[in-house]
Amino acid sequence: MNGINLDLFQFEFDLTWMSFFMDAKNRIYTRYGGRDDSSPESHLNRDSLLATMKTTLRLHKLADVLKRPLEPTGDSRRTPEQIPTMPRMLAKRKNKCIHCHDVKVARLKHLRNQNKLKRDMVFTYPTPANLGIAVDAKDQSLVRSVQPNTPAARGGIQVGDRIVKAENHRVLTLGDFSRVLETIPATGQVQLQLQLQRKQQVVEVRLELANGWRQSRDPSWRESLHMVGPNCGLWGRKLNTNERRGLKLRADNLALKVTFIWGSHTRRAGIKVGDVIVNLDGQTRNMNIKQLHAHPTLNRNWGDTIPIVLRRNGRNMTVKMTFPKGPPN
Amino acid sequence: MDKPDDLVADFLGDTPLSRNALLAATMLAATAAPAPAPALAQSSPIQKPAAQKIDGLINWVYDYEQGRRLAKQTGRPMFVVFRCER
Repeated sequence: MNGINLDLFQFEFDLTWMSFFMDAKNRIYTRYGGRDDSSPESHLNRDSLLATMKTTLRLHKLADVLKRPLEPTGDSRRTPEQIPTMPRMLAKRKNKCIHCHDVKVARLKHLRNQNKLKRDMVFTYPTPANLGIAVDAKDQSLVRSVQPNTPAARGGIQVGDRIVKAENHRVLTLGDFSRVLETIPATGQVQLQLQLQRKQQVVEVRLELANGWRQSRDPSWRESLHMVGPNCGLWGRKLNTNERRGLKLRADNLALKVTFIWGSHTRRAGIKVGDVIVNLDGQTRNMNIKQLHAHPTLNRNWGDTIPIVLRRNGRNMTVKMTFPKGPPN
Repeated sequence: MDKPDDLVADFLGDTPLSRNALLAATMLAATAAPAPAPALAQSSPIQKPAAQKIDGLINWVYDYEQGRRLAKQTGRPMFVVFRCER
């Protein structure tokens, strides 16, 4: 991202791949990219990319670009290097390469330095899944399923509906939809207006979104997550089936073997490499290391103390971990 | 399953759609060369790593402004890609 104009290229910086279809005047036809919590490639595939390319060619003939003011102009040029916290972040880095997630981390750090950081700021660029909608991975404006008891279900969205517009902006892809959702406030009773094509009809619906609607079930994939709360200061791996059997642990139980410790608070808690974490702060579901970190990051504060149950030498033991009083400088 | 080259071949191939309107494929990698930086960035320059180029059938352009010029000359749209390369 070195030198990239952030006034023009605005997207989910926790992603590892994103694309834009544009004209030579910095105007955008559509965005292609984005993911759900399950996989970085959940919505990246040959069919949808090819369809998006074909649609872009049609739109280009008509000069039918996405409308401002939602779309940036790029006129107020600003780069990642201008984020006040970025130079220090890069100082220790050999190749000085600014990754996408560095942009978001640097921004969150800057907000933290100004005492303006809020935990829900990590939930950028929500996806239709936040509304209860699963869009088809190949035909990304098509509603493939609707989760019950969600804003989409309450708003009457149906399987087979095609999302035409959100807040009056054209939606062709998951990236387009996510871009509109990014403009919707995180808190307060907010509404989202959708225009749908249902068979031969055009249908308008209005979804009611409650506080916290931007949060997703498993944000552990977000590289920037560590900015908003404490973590356990260790690396680990899930036990395999044989290892679980040997320790008489169920397949769906948390069983994470500690492989590396970097946190002084982790050492102070008495945790050692080789320990198996079977319960973290009351959480016993089967988690990978990123999911394990996400729990305290999103639910506990700096300085909090949590209980951790370890399996060591065939026996359970409980330790208490007290997180540092604040984030590292 | 399709190979990546198949996608490229379809994208650039001799279909009625693409024959006359071949997309200008422009790639902005994470290390893409920037346009002239504003004053603040120039006052504290950060050395920029070279782009890691990609082999394949597409001749990617690693500089956005160069891609824009190409799009203007050819009258074609741009496909701008950001990818994590390290």
